[in-house]
Amino acid sequence: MPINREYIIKRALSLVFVVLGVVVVTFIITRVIPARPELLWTGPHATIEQIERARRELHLDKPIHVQLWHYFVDLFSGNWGVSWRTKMPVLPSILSSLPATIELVVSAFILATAVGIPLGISAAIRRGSGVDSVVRIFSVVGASTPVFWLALLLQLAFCNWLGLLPAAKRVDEYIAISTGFKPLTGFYTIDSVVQGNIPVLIDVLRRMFLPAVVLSLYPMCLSARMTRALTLEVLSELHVRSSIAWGIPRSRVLYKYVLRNVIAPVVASLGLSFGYTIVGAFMVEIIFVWPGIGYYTAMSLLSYDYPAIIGSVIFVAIIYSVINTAIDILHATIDPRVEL
Amino acid sequence: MGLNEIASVLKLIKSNPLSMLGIIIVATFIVIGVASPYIAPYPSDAWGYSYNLETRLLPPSPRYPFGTDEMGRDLFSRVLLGARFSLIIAVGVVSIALVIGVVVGLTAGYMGGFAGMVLMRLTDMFLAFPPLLLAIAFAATLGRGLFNVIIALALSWWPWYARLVYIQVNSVKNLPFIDAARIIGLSPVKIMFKHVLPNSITPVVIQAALDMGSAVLEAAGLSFLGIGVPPPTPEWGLLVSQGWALINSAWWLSFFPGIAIVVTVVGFNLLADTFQEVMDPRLRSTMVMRGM
Amino acid sequence: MSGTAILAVNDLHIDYYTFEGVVRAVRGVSIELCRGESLCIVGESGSGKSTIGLAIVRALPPNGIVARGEILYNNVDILRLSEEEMSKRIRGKEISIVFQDPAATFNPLFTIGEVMLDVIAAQLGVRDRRRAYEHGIKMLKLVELPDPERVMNSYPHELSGGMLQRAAIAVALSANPKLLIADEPTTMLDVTIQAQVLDLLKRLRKELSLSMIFITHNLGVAAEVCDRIMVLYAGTMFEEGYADTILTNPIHPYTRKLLECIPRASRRVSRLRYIPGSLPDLKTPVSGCPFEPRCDYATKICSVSPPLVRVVGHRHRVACHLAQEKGGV
Repeated sequence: MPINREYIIKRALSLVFVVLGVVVVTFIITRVIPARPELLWTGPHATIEQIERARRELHLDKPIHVQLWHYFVDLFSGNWGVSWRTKMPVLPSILSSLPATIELVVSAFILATAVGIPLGISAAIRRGSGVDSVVRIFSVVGASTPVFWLALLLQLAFCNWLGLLPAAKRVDEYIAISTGFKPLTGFYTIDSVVQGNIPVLIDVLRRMFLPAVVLSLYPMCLSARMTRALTLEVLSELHVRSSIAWGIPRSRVLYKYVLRNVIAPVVASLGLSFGYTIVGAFMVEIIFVWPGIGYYTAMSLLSYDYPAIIGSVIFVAIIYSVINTAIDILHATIDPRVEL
Repeated sequence: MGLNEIASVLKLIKSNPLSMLGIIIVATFIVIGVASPYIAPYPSDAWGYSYNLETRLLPPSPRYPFGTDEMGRDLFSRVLLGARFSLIIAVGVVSIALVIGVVVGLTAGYMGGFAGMVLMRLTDMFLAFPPLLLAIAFAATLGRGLFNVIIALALSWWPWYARLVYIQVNSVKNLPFIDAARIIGLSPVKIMFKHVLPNSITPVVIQAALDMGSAVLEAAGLSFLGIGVPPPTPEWGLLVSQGWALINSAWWLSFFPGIAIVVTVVGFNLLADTFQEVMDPRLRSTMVMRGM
Repeated sequence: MSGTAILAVNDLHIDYYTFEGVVRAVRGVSIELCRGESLCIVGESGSGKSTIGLAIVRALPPNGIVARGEILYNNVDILRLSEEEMSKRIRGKEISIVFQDPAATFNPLFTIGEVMLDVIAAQLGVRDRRRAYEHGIKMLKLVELPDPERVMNSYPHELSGGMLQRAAIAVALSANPKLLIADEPTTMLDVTIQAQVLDLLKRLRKELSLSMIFITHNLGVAAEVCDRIMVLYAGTMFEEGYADTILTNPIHPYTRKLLECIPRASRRVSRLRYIPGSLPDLKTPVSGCPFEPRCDYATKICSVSPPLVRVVGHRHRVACHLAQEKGGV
């Protein structure tokens, strides 16, 4: 499968425009829609001087295109405002909570695709059977369940009632300190493996298990549904029957030919699954007190911390665009027909 | 979509017990949504205006099927009334998003050219956000409130419909009868609304109606995050969120409103599945072979 | 029954289970094909002709079911073979098929070469990729494709319809089948390419001494490529015989109408002829002759009882109440 360098360059260029577009949309939401943006920016307990200072800092006294220009300059120079909940600058706070979220979201995402895609394929191959019905019902119910509700219930059942798993946080501080654990990269699974710290690794995995499972449910059902529909679609195409009729064994047609046809569009749809996972993390992280971006955003939302909220929104939207670009490039390497 | 398709939808629904279940759930949801103030056993509890400390935090019982909350209010009445708010939000979000989406998609699709391109680029900019994230930004900016939640969700949803309409319009606008209308000199606006729109809108409207389940789900998410409907409104997401603080002593407070969400959304999603099978013949068991 | 029959289809019934109801696409068709012979199945779209072709390679879509009948290939009923036996013993090396739409017969995500090498590996047991590759190139040369190496490494979307159809023929023949089913192989091609592909098939049939079933809706094409012609209507056989007989001395009113519809330069007519009416709904059972509503000669009996197949000449069979029986020959 050839990797088309030209395509990658094109996609990277269009990523720049997508990010600019995302920034423009947030500018419209935060500076054009509200009557007095500086009030949102400073919060309910601000003094008149603070509000006036915010007005100047946000360049609200200047014409709109100048405001947009300064908006861009501030964003790209790392000046994302100060949270009035934590009194800390927004961008460094977000960046420091990034590893926790990546660790959780990536685990959930891998779990979702690793389970969802095979489920969808096996349902489609045995269409109309018991397996198919179970997968269909599971995927409808799973996609209809509010992630925060499920998180609350599972936490209540497994942590509080059964006492099988710890209810919150990434690692037990006592275990971490007593074993001399050092969070070097911020990815505790990697850190503990690198340091050969088995007690911490076990504790980290036990704490990550429930949030990751809860978070994976929605994207899992999404990919199962999509994979099932796509597999049925591909199986009905003529090239499947012609390959079999020409003498290629059915199993080879299924696992070599059909699989690639299914995987290509499923890969293309992973971006959306990822989007659901990362926004779901807002709710799951706050319930499991998981100190990531989701926790930071949800806490900001609950206390109406506007600069922090908007900072998180922009940050997550940019990550989402980057992930989507990467997924498009991956898709292009599987499907030779993809053109920009 | 003509009479034939509608007839086959009905046939599919009848033949499939899951679709039937979907119909029943959605119909019940609508009936409860409309009638809840009149059928709730404790109407003043439902609205949240009363409190009774003697009946605080009672577990589910025949008298209070879903138990009572920390103000002694009957949770069953509150959940029933919640259906009304979910219904209002769902209908509101979907119709506003649909109107914006249709106007943008229709204009972009029929006009084409530079204006069309600009409109679709704008749509793409909105679609570059993950689902719900944009609604969070809007809701945080607009502040809490039933109307603001509807606006926030609608503003983040219209791009999906705009793109759907755009695709539909592009497939319709070059059909011969549209050309004919143009040749006999009908004005573009007239062609757009009298000829292009009626022939491209049905699937979009049905899609939107079935998206009401997702609207319920996302509105609940916003409420849980504290930027949705304010208390004491018995919105389901808000009820779950309020029950969270007491979950160890009164699990029912979060449990039952959540069940209401799941059942309602399942109902819509079951119907959405049926609809998808009708619209996409490849998913149906029908397979009309070429040159058979 | 002659001992040289390579294929004998007896009383084949095929149903499609669709959402709207059961479509009875093939209703009791029998075929006898001698070794080296070529038979054309002619019919309008919806007559069941492609369905018969698909059934012979056991490649019906999942909702297509053989309700009754047998398909004897060299006296073995292939309907009784397992999927595995079909793939091991029959498909590719005994019977193969070329489809109507060359763009849809190839998987868009794989090169022509990948498909071909898989066929060669599975059917000829050639595991050595270099030898398989050489065999593939040889096959592509056989179907007169220029630059076979490039074709081998091309994805379907990079080739034209005509080239794809040639490549499909090459893949279908790459394991040396004895019987080739060609399901409207020229219908979707440009007119100039159609003639080339027809010539190619005629040449290959001779060179490789293939038996062939050629499916078409065009009686003119049928006359050009085949020894024998079978006319199919609404899933039933109307007339079958040697091509000359059918073209010069057709018995069935439908066959005659079809012949009248072939435009000819010699015949000066002001408008193209057609047969008024359309095929009957295949979901509802027909009590009489399915052609009765469109037939000029229909009598009372035609709407009441289905016509029996009568032998009217040497290997010439007709299913019509009006035909005169001539006793077995």
